[in-house]
Amino acid sequence: MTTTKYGSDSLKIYFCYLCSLFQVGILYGSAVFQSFVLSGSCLVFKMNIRCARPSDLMNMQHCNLLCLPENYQMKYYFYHGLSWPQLSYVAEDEKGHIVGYVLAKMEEDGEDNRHGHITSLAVKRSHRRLGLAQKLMNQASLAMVECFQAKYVSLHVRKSNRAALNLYTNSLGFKILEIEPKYYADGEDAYSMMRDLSAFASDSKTDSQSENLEIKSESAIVSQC
Amino acid sequence: MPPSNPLPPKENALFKRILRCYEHKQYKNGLKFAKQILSNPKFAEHGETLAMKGLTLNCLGRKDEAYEYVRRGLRNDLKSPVCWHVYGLLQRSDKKYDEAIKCYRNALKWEKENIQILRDLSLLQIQMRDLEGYKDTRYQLFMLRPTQRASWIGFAMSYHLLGDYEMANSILDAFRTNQMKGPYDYEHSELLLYQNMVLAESGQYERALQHLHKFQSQILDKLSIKETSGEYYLKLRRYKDAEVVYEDLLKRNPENVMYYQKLIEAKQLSNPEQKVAFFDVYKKEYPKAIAPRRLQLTEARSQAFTRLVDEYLRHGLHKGIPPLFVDLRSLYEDQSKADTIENLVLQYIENLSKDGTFSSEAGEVKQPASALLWAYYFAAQHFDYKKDTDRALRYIDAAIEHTPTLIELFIVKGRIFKHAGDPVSAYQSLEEAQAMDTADRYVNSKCARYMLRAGDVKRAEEMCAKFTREGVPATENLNEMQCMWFQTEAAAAYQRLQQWGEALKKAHEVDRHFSEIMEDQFDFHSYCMRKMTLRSYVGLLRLEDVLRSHPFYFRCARVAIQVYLRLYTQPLQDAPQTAEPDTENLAPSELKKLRNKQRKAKRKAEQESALAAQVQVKREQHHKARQQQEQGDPEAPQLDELIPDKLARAEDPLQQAIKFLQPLRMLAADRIETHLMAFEIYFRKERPLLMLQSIKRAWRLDRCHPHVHSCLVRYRRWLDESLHNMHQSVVDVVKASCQQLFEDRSAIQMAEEYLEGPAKKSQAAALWGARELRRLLPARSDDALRLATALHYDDTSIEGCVEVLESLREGEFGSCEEETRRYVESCRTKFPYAIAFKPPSAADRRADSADTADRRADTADIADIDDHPLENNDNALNN
Repeated sequence: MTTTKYGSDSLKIYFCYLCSLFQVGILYGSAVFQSFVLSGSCLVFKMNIRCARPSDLMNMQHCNLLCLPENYQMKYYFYHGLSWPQLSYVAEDEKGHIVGYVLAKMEEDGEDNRHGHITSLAVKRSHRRLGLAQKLMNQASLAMVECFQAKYVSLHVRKSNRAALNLYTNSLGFKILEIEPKYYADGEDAYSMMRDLSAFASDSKTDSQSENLEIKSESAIVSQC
Repeated sequence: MPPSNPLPPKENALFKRILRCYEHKQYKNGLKFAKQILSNPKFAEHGETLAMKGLTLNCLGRKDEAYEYVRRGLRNDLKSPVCWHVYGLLQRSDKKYDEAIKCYRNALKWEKENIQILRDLSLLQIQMRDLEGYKDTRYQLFMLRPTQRASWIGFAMSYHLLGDYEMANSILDAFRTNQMKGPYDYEHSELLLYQNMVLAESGQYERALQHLHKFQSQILDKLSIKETSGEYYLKLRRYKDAEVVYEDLLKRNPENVMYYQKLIEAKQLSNPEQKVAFFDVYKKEYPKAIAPRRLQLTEARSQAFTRLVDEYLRHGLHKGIPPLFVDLRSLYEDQSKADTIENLVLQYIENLSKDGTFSSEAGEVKQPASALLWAYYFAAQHFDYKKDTDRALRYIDAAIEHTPTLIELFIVKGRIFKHAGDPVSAYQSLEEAQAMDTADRYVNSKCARYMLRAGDVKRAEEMCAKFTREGVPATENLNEMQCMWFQTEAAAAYQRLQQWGEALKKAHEVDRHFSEIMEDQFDFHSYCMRKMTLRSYVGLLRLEDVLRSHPFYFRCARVAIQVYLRLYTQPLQDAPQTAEPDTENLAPSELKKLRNKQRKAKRKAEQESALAAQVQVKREQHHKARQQQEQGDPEAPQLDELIPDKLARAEDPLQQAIKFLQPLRMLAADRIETHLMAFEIYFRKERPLLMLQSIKRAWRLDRCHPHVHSCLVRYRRWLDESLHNMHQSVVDVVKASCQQLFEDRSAIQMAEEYLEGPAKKSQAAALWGARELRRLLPARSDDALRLATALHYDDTSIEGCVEVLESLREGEFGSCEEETRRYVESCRTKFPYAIAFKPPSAADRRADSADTADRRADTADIADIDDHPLENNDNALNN
């Protein structure tokens, strides 16, 4: 008798359901050794950008609820963090509080179309203009290429979110693909955007850094796929 | 083993169809086939059919019937593994995992090698952290299905979790060499890194390092390779190698503070000058990175600091970086650094307002007009930090005059008011900010939080509603989204308003989120095994083990415990809370007013209940949609609705408080408040040994804590009265353990010593000392009162004064109206902005906001957190 309530499909269905609920498109990182990574005494953490760990997920949810209208239950964060642990990043302040994060995933529809997707990106208003969003996005993009051979990364942004749109187009090299009418729960349209990641690919092969990828700009704003 | 009552072929075929229908979620059809079997009188009591019928009914949401049928089936066929398995599944769907495990074990008694039951059992065992049981089950699964990947992984993991790293590693090795045949994909890469994690956790860094090097080319997660090998090199003191790795990592991410820290370790730099020079290198190398510039400020001293911070500030003010102050705030721990910053900022302001430059030196570049604005903005936060409210307000007003449209300014102005004890002006400022950018949820959230601090829950909910789903009350949507900051704040607000039931409701809601998040792991036990993201999976298990160490839980538990304690001491009256006012003595006009008011209230209540009804319908629709999505997943157990009035009238408030306390005793043992709350509960329950344990734990953390003193004195007194009633063995333990605590002093001696010592220096100590003095020596009540209401202590604070004031009003110092009035006046002089000390008429302006009865402003607890209830989180995870 097979009675697996918790089969793979039920997980998938659950998440599809979540997606449809919020019309959107985790967590955690390579915490191989979080125990000793964190136990270091010395410098107090200042503004810090690092790959997210499972223990960050609840605090990412908190940051999300403070900053953005599109929210998700914890399970959805777990889903990200346990499926693509390398892709989500956090910015934390000196007390270890999360002031910004990017929650990202892979869209695995076919070998030739492997691409990353930004589920959610937020920086607290109190920590704007430090370039955090851009830095978070670049780290996540690099990981998408290295670990999952992503060719590009996609996201959605509210038509009215000029600041975010500016960040994506001017600072991060995203292009508008199309307009998705009534994408958001409140009826607002979304721009569907993408950024080609081939520069990261060649870069990671030569093992040089992401510096050349930086596009000049200072605006770092909140946005949301 | 065949069922004890085998069906003939025709019925047996029908039974198989029931199973198939269940698997394919065709429950209606399943019931039809069950009926076909059961309607034959010969099989009307066929156990397995009855059980399956029950399970099918459960999926249709008919739980009571489900239990009835499953139990009846089981009674008729106690030796059937199917019946037991079904009973287990039913219990599992009800989250009764312990019971379900028992059922599965019974099922396995009759059919030892049923893979499905073993799998289901292993999931429950890991969920319940029965690690030994998990290991046994994984072993059996491994023996039965040695060709399956999951068999190996689960088997290895069961040893890893038990700390048997060697065995885990051998299994993984064997699996890798025998089972994994290319291609080297992501899953393979994750498996290798998991194996590496096992090696590292066994403490064999050399071996882990070799493993990492050997498989480097097969691992896709380059970041992990570098981060872990860096760790290993440091552990192995191979500093040169570590240096190379961290240099490399910095190229990848120059904003990672830990990399700098590790690099300093690798370079073995110890004195501040070396470190300052070190950061100079990376400032040049990564000119756009913030981290090296900022870290340098922490290390730099005196002259060098002045030069560097000058540079840093100018850069920030020139560019207009709003978080500049927040970023530098931690430097203020060093008083001389704080002074340096103050001097510089005042100098900038002077020169910028004169001639637009940062200093009067020749050749200074003219700054944009905004530089002065940002300097004002910085100065306002600086003086707010120093609790100089007047100057802070002066600077922020200057900034607002300079640029009236900058939202950040109003946020800071609100914060200044909040710190000054005026939460109403605070939220009014935030309302202005919010109105300027209604699309920004951060400002909205902040505004709502300030409203909660001001005790205006309704207004806060309305504010939040601008970002919650339409058609559903904000609180409902926030609860659904597990919005714990709101719920913990609301719980505390209700507590201050003495709306005990509402406070408890919010606390229970947060507690339920934690239970739900514990449940969330269930699906990942099998999911991660397939995905191979085993490192993250282990991280998840460890997180869930200490989940309630999260500050959100601490805060909701604290409210719940305090409220339950209060309700134990002063239970609610049985009469409904809204007693009919005495109408006989009212003048006709007043009576009319009252009637009008009542009519209005009634109409409002009707509207609200209409809305609630709509919501109910919506909720049901929503629920249905969800159920359909999940395709007949057995319905999650229905939790009792949380009804405030019922919660506030709990029969056993102390027992309820203990439920909230238990996780804290396990997971927040490093916080003294945990043990102080425990003492208060057990004191009321008269449990001598638990009181003793709580005191000892608190005493070990901070023996001078004023509340610890109070516990000691009360315990001593209680022992004096009760010791003779106790069992001799308890008396012996108590006496032996108390030696160190009491040092042979009586309660009175301890109290008097305290008055001579700590109580002279701190406001809180004085208050607690005074309380005990009065309790022990009622004749010295006047002394006690004088002590509690003194305001000369260095640490006198708004929160401290509010606590004293509450004690006075609660009658802890007897009737003292005149003294209270005088105390409020003195506090007002000392803290002119604080609303808690304003005369009633001024405080009344807050009453325009809502119609809640008790509006005493209470600023206790206000100072502690901003956006960040998240202290101590990481530590807990590393236990």
